[in-house]
Amino acid sequence: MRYEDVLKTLAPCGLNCGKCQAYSEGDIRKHASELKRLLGSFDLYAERFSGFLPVFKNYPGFKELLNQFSGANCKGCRQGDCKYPNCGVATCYKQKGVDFCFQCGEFPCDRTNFDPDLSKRWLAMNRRMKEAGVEAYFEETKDQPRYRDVTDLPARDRCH
Amino acid sequence: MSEEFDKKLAAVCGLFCPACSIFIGTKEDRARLNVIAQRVQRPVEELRCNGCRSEQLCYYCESNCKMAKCAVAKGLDFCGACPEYPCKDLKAFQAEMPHRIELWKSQERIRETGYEKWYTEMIEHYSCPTCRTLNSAYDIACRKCGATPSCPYVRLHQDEIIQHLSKRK
Repeated sequence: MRYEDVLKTLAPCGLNCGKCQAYSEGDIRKHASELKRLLGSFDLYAERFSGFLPVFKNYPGFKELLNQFSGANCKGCRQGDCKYPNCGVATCYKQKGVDFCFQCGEFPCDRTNFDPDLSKRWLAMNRRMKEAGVEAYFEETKDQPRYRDVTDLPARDRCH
Repeated sequence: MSEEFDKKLAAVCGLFCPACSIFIGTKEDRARLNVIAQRVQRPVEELRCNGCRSEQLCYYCESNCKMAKCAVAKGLDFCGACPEYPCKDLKAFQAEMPHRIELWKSQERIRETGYEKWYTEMIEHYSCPTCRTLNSAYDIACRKCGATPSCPYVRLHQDEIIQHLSKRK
């Protein structure tokens, strides 16, 4: 993928908006919407099925989550819609005139406001982008799930 | 010396009690405490607070805070010393309000330099550059002399603080 296209989904911190559950154009939103469509009026069936398969008693809760996922409407970080509480990167990268943190002369700085876990990932993601290039980084991480317990992984594998 | 850095006022979570609006209200500004009491719909007596490790805690820190009780159970002084740091309770707490933005930085500082040094840095961080009054994160202008921004913390996080205040009822 070309650099300009990567910029559409890769946030300046290195996280991929395209894989985020809140992103309107994300795969999670698309698959959730499709599943919702395929299930149609499953409510009535779930109730009936729950008589012999108790797991279907949980369908209302599942449906609520499915509605949440399929209603995702975030436009993405570069559209000014960062969902991370008090993210320091979302405004800073514009002021510095860079596309990604690693391109800034002050990287790594302490202005991200990220919690220590995300801080580690932020470092790993940006170091990898610097080393391999943005396009290559995008390719090698695009099929990894966004949501992983990365705290025990080696630095290189914390990227997503 | 005990006046210079009082451990009672260095909260387990990394917050600095002297820069809390409720603490300021308890110590020197009855009117401020009344305003807060009205906003949160609680009797003013339940708000009185002498700091995280004191005997008199405001209702919020008394009943909602998970960190202080957890630290006592684990025999730790600050969250940053815990093998589970940063746990999901602290992450959720940090993300809720803009006066908690620098919790991670504070925990790191306390670990690196000790709470005494951090404490003196916090006094600087929340003091009005003009008149030296200690302000809370929600005092956009200095509560004594009116200088804006009221302190370095507010200068750094003004946007988030104003956004938060505008959503307040």
